[in-house]
Amino acid sequence: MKGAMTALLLIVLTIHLSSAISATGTITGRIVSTSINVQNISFNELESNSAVYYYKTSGGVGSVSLNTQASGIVPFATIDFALDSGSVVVSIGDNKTLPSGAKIILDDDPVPSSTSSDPNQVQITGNSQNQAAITYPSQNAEITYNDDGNLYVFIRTGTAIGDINVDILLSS
Amino acid sequence: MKKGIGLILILGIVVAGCTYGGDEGKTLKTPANPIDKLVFKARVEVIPFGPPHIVSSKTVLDFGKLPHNIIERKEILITNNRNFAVVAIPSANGSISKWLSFDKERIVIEPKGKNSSIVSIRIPEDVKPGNYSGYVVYTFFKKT
Repeated sequence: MKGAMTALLLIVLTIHLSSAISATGTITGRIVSTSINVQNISFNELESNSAVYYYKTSGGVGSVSLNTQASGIVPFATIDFALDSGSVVVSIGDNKTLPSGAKIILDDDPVPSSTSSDPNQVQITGNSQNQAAITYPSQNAEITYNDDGNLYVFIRTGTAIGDINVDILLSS
Repeated sequence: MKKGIGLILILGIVVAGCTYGGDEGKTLKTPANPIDKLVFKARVEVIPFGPPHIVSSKTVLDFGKLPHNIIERKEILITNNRNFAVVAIPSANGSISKWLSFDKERIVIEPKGKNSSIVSIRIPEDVKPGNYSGYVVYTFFKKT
């Protein structure tokens, strides 16, 4: 079944810190979180296709099959952890429109993989009400980093038709 | 004589300007006699395109590498270990300052209490790529 869907993601990235900065006297301050809000990450029209995972490239949109490295993928964000390692917890914000069966993968590597071969990822799937829900992992939707790294986003449209408009909140 | 009147007028304006307004929500005036300061170095590298690079620095308000029109926020938790309430007034200086904004003009922190301040940055479209820096300063006053 061929169709088209417009993908629009709003991703909010929040990195929480525990670092402290001394102040003069008895008042102290510390930076406790960093967040970034990028709107209109538009994939434009994506063709319904269960066999491929779409991703952003510098020239537009690319696609790749499962367990294949995405060529020319542009990371959504690069992350420099204060302690050179850390984790990002994923949750969903106010906008949750995701057609039933469509899937968003958030990953620390540029290879869309099954969860059995790469458990360090988070998957968001459209349910029967066309609402986004985190379907993997079932608890603690977290991506861990052993070093500073990148965050990649893949979209599998499946056979779904409709718009994608999902706010994703990432925090650690 | 005219010189003297002018001096008195200027002094009057300065004194009036230094009178602290009190509780949050009232017109902001610059208080006198700050009791403390908290200083954060701030920096950003403006990039013409590409993904943002987010830095979670321990000691610096490092906004990393940002393309235009992306909003990045950093939350600062301020702790008052004194036995009296204080008011923090945030300000920024340097080449980065014109793109920085604060969620609150004044932050009241109760004795032995905490409160947060969010510093946001957004790089306008017409800014040239490059490095920009400055300081974010929280100046504290005893709450009257």
